[in-house]
Order: sequence, then structure tokens, then C-alpha cells
Amino acid sequence: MSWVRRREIPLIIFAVTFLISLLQYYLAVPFLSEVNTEMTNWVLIMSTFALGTGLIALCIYHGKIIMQKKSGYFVSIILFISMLMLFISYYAAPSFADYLYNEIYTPLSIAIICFTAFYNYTAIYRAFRVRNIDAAVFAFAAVFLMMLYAPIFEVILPQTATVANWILDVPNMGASRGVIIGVALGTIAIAVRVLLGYERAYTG
Amino acid sequence: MSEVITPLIVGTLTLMAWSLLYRENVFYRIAEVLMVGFGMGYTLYISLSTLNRVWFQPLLSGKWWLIIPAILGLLLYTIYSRRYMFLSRWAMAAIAGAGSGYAVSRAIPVMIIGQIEGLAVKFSELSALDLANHIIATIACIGTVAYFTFTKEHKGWFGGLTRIGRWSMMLAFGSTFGATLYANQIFTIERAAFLAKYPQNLLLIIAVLFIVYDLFIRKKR
Amino acid sequence: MALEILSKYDRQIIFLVVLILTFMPAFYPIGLPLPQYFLTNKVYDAINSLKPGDLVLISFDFAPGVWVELGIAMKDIMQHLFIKRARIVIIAFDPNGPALAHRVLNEIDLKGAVYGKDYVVLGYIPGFEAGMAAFVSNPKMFTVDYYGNPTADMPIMNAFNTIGDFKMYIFACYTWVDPWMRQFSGKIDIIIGVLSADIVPQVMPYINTGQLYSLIRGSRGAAEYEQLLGIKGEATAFMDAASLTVSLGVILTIVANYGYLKKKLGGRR
Repeated sequence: MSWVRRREIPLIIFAVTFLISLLQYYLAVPFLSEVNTEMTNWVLIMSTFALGTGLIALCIYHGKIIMQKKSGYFVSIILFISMLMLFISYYAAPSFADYLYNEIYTPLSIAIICFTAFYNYTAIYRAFRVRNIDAAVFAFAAVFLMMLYAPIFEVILPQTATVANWILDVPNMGASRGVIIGVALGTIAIAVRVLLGYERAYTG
Repeated sequence: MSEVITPLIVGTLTLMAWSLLYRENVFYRIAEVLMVGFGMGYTLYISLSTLNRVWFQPLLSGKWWLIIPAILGLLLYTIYSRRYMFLSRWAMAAIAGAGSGYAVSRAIPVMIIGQIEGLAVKFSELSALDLANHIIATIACIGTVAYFTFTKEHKGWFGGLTRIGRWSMMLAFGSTFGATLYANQIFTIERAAFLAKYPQNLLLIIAVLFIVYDLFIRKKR
Repeated sequence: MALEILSKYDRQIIFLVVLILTFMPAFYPIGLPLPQYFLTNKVYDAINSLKPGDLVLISFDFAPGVWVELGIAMKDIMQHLFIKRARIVIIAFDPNGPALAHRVLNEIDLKGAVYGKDYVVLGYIPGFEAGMAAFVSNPKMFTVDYYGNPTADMPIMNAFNTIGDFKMYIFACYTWVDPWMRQFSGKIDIIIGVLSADIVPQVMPYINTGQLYSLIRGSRGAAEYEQLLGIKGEATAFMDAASLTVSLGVILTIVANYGYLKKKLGGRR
């Protein structure tokens, strides 16, 4: 059974699924289209199973903390209680599950995301320096976009919005277009590298 | 009753989360694991309910062969075993392969051809200002692509072009940074608007007293 | 002395100023006017021109953490769609999508719309881009909806056979829009993105080519949309604080660089 360990197997699976989903778009072959539909179905099922992998990793990590009674293990117990509470209530009391999701989980997620805003300001004050022309160009665009999103500037000085919108619509649009073309070429290049066996992130 | 209790619970949890701004403490950790725990609970529920829709119901309707992707999906969990980890690569390769195939097939018409088409305009239909803007945008685009070309040395006219590309990208990244500041700040604004309402605004006073007390104790030590 | 304190406790002082500026308008609203963005108007006009019964596909592709940026905007847009009596099919490419769609549907006035006839929540479609491709090739891929009801008996499911039967597609996301554009561009005439404000600069090329018809720029766009709908909604209430706090970003950039450049130029002399 040593053949099952061979590295070529995932590479072949990658190549087959890749070529089917690629070619069905360019070739109007009914058989290929049917195969692709079934294959996509399979991929969706596998992707759904994949959702649980992160869950298991977290359970193993926090389970170990509780078993070994490491410091602050009660925090891990809270994690399991909250997990089971929401999960069970989706079946036992759906309205309570909605309440937990909308009234507790959502605002709590927002409260935790907030930190990025506070750190943005300290980052601006401590690290945002016009050290060279590149940084100056960066700061110029950043300041005008900030002004665009603070309605007060547009009300007092409408020209700030004109400049910000010009940056968005002209140089930013041009550069972003270049980046999009680059990303597309990069996507193709990565797929070719995986097919040739140079990239092994997915295929081992 | 819940109109009073719920805002007080949520207000307390918000302040527990924000307590990290003052310093690392156990209240923040509780708020954090609660969020992760609820997230895990929901993921577990949505995974099972989605499996019911995409796999179990079709399986019951007679598509017995769907047992194969289920087995492959289950093999993903061998990732936690060093011995059998290689089996998880099979399903992972299938998911990545199909995803890449779809991305590559559509990237060419939409992201490459579609965007290059955007460069082509009828000059006669443009005003002088629009024409100038179009030329600037086109140079910015070509400059950006040139910047990522490493087979030719960035010198001479090509170096000038890549420099324009770099500046254009700086303008684009600066734009993103400026917009990010707003996008991140709006979360704080929403929470503040919530905390400013009665009865949860009373919690603000308790929080301030808590910080003053802690500062006092720490200074005494 | 003051400068010393400022440089020693700069982080704490900045946090405090941000908090004060954030809370101030919550206690004392200023009511600053809100200028309109032409792309928001374009979204409003497109939805306004829908006829009763037109099919609209909506996907909720964000997590609850960004509810403020995208959820409120989706509420406003969905409210407008129900006013226009459009028929709505809701899907999600993010696992959190169905729960957030369920919340939106509970919080808006459905104007007498009937589930299964006028709107349906098909639920989460796994696989991300593979899921998008699967849905585009067969929008009737599911036999049961998010709530577990069989879809075969639903009148709305008989209103479409292919993706081209949808008049409009609205998606809400907070990451790069490339996968959505790759799979949906050219398949549905009008594609509208409800996007987090920080994504907007990156999607301008798609707007320029018309591949993306228009966009709503997060909560700012939601506030503009509320203005167009003539309601004083949630997003509008946040705009005063947004003006003050984002202005702080501008001031900090100028202050930090003024000090730096002064020191640098002074040193050279």
C-alpha cells in the first residue's frame, strides 16, 4: 500500500480537477460539462467537510489546556460553553440562537474589531513619515481619501472631494488596473507551477 | 426586561473587550473567547446544515455515489495525524484544483482582456480633460505592469516608466490606507453610539471608576 | 514638559482623544450635511427602475464583525427592493451570510412579501469560487433552502432557470472582489457591489470598464442611501463622529510630519 503515499497522487488529482474546470469553459463538449457539474458537486461537499477542520484544531488546543489545567484554563471552559450554547440552541430554541447571534455575538465581534482603528491612529502618529518622494505621494493620497470619508471637509471645502475623486478615478484606477492584470497573470503562473510540481502547498 | 438586561450584557462585554486598550487583563480574554466560542458554535451548526443540503438530501434521493466525496472530505481530518496526514492532501488537491481551474478560466476574459479593453477608448468621444485623464491612467497602468517586470533592468526610459508605476501604486495604496482608517473607525463609532444610550451609559462611569481604582492600587504598590 | 508627557504617553493620549471624539457626537449630535456620491445615486436609480416581479440575486458574503460597514447598507438596499416589489433570491458564499440575511429580513418591512413566492434564502454555498461557478452554471442546484424547506414547491424557484434570468446581482463583501467579478461578470447585466470602504479604491477599474455597474461604499454609502430613501437610519447617525475622528487622522498626519520635517530640515541647516 506504499503507493498511496506517493506525492504524484495529489498532483494528479489537482491536474484532473484543474483541467476539467478549465477546459469546460473553453470547450463546448456536453460530456465535459456533465463531468464538471458532478465534480463541482463533489468539491462543494469536500469544502463543507473542510469547515470543521479549524473547529477541531481549536477544540484540540483548548481541550489540552483544560486537561492539563494550565493557568487560565477556565477561559477555555467558557469557550466550550459558549460554543455548545449557540450550537444547541440552533436546534433546541432557534429564536434564542438568533438572539445570541444578533444581540451578543455580532456586537462582540464589532467591539473586538475596533482595536484596529485605535492602532491605526498610533501608527499614523508614530510611523507615518514623509521620508522620501514615495512616502510623500502615499501620504498625499491618504490624506485626501481621509478627507473624502469625513463629510465635514467636503462640506467646507468641496475641492478636497474633487482632488480625492480624481486620485481614485485616474491614477489609482490606472495602478489598480495594472495590479488586477498582474494578479490574473500571477494566478495563471501559480497554477502552472503547481501543475509542474514546483509549488507543493496543496499537493504535498 | 430584556430591553434593559440585553444592553447591559452587551455593554459590559463591549467594555470588557475594550479594556485591552488600558492593559492586558482577564476580562478581555473572556470577551475574546466568548466571541471565538460563538463563532465555533455557529460554524458547527452551518457546517451540519450545509452538509444536509449539499450532501445528505441528495444522498437520500438516491445519489449513492456521493458517499465518495464524503469519504474524501472526512480524510481532510487526517491532517491531525502525522502518520496519515498525506491522505488529507487528496481532498485538498481536489478543492484547490477546481478552484484554480475556475479562477484561471475566467481570469483571462474578465481580468486580462476585460481590463485591457478598458484602455481602448474612442478619442473623438472624449473631451480634452477626459483624454488627459485617460492618458494618465493608461501610463499608470502600463507603469505598474512594467514595475513587476523583472526580466529587464529598471534603467533608462524603462526605469522612468517603472518609477511612474511605483508612484501610481503609492497613490493607490495611500487611497486604500485613507479609506481603511474610515472603515476601521466606523466600528468604534457604532459601539460608542450604543454605549452612549441609557442604561448602558451607566457602565461607562463604572469603567472609569474601575480604571481610577486600578491606577490607585498600582501606584500604591 | 508638555511635549515630554505627550511623547511619553502618546499612545494613551491618542486613544483618549479618539474615544472623546467618537463619543462626543453620540451624546451631542451635530447633524452635519452629507454630500452624495454619484455611484450611490446610480445604485438607487438602478433599483428604482426595477419593475414589480423583477428577479434580483443577492449574496451576503461577510462576517458579523463588519455588520456596521455592510449589514446596514444591505438593510437599506433590501428595504428599497421590497418597496419596489422585486423578487429576491438570497445566497451566501460566506458561512455567516445566511444568519445575517435572516437578521436583515427580520429587521426590515417586507411590505407583505411572501416567503417562497417573493423571496427565498437558499443559504450558504460552500467552496467559495467553485461554489460561485456551480451556482452560475445551475442556480437551481439546491433541493432544500436554508431553513430545510423543499424548494421544488416554491413559485419563485420556477421564475428562473439560468443565471441570465436575474435582472440584477448585489453582493456584499469586504475582501478583493476579483472572484465575484470573475464568475458573475458578463452573466448578469447589472452587478452592484456593497463594499467595505477600504476596498473601493481597488475596484475602480471594474467600475471604469462597466463590469461592476456601481457600488455602495460601506456605511458612508449606506448613509447616502438613507438620505435618498428619505429615512434617518442607523448609518446617518454615525456620520458626525466619522467626520470628527477621521479628521483626527488628517491632523495627526500633518502634526507628525511637521515635527519630523522641521527636525530634518533644521538638522540640515
